Amino acid sequence: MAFVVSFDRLVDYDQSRPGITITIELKLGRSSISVPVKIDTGSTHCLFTRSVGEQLNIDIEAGERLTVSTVTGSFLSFGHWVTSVSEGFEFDSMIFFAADDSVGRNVLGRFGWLDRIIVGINDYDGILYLRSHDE
Amino acid sequence: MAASIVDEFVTKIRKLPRTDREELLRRLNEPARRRAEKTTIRSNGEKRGDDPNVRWIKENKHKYAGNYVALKDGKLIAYARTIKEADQAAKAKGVDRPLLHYILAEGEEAFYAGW
Repeated sequence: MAFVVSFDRLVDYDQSRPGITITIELKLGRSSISVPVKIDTGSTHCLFTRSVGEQLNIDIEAGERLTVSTVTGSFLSFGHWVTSVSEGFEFDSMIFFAADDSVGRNVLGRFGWLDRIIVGINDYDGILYLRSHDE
Repeated sequence: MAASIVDEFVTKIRKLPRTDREELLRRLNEPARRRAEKTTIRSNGEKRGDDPNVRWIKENKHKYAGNYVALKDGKLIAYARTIKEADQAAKAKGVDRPLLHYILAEGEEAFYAGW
């Protein structure tokens, strides 16, 4: 049986970089920042570095506290409502920011991004297909 | 650009050896990569943190563990086991763009692969 899924955005990503990296703009109030981010189906939440949150002028520790587990331990993060814009898709969702400066990666995880977009990955050709549930 | 021209390009590109295709893609992606690596910031210098929706989650999350909540202006509009149900319930109540958030169930772990 064949299943057909249609998408309305095609994104070429750079296969020479580790992971599947796209650019995202985070907006809060009149502050905004554009940063590279990896699509990470293994992450429960969307998580960004402390530096990104601080550059958005967020009081990091005022957010929703969340302990995040990794394969080697855990670290603390804090969630804030942020608007994210990537490849034309805009979502308001809770984005978590690492409390510790040592967490150095930005990832789009399940809750907050993957749960509100339809994603197709063709890693063989380095192509990402995207579609909103609303379109 | 006409679709036929795009098709012609794609056909020609597909015939290229893999190394040439990778080089072509690298060159095409160069501007986007430069943009991504160059962090751009616009800020008004105002510190943000106290949000009514975050406050609601801190105070009420224990009641809705394992559910998606749909919030607006610090008030609960709807909740459900799936994002689709919570979204549709909020929209049925006239809230077009609810803030949707999943509250972890008791014992459920937040995981970060971070590859």
